Amino acid sequence: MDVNVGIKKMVRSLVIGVFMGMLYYLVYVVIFPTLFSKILPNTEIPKLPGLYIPVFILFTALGLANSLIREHPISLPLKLLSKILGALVMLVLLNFGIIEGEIALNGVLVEYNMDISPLLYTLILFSLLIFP
Amino acid sequence: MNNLLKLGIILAAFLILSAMLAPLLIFAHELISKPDLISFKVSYEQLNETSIKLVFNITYKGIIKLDDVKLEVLNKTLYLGNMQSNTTISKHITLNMNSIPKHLEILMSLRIAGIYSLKLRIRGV
Repeated sequence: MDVNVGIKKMVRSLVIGVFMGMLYYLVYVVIFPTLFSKILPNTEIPKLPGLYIPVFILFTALGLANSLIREHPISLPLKLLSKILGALVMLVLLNFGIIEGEIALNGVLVEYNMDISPLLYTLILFSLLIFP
Repeated sequence: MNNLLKLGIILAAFLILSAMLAPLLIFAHELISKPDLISFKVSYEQLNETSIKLVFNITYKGIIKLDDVKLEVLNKTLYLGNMQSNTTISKHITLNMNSIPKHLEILMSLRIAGIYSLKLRIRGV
């Protein structure tokens, strides 16, 4: 009976851990960068195929470890590490908030360089506070 | 209490992020939809045989306030200050005839709503 309860608890922790890792990946790597690229003109997320799989694995591993040892004090820095990693990946994908491109103004082609990092840092700050 | 605090943070996040995002979105939309959002005219006046006066007329037709507008031309900086909607600012610099290239390169820097820095490099004026 106790073994069954233990297995159930372990499986539950595994599922929660994988789910949390996927949630972090979705929010920081997929949702936030895509939102920014859609709402701002002429911005594209750089294609970094070498980054996606390791980041996904790392997020899932951190989520899993965090869920399995959530009673232990070390789970707190692990949780923080997931959030910081997410923020870092998002910053890399969005070029640390620097958007560059060309736009026609008054018939002249103009190069622009816009710094939206204050918005990104505010978003990261609130996501660190809000996320579980 | 914990849930109430979280709800408060979510509400504050929504309000602050909306307030920060709104001027950026409006400016980006205007930049695409209005080709004459920032219009730029350069005229010149010959002062004597060696000097020339370059006059820059910058007109801004957007809604969002632009702060700390600066122009950099041939290593000289012209500070235009803040620009509200439908304002035209005129500034001039005096240059030596020999130092003027065939095509000028102008670097315009400003802060959108005092938050986001924007640099525009205009070539071939």
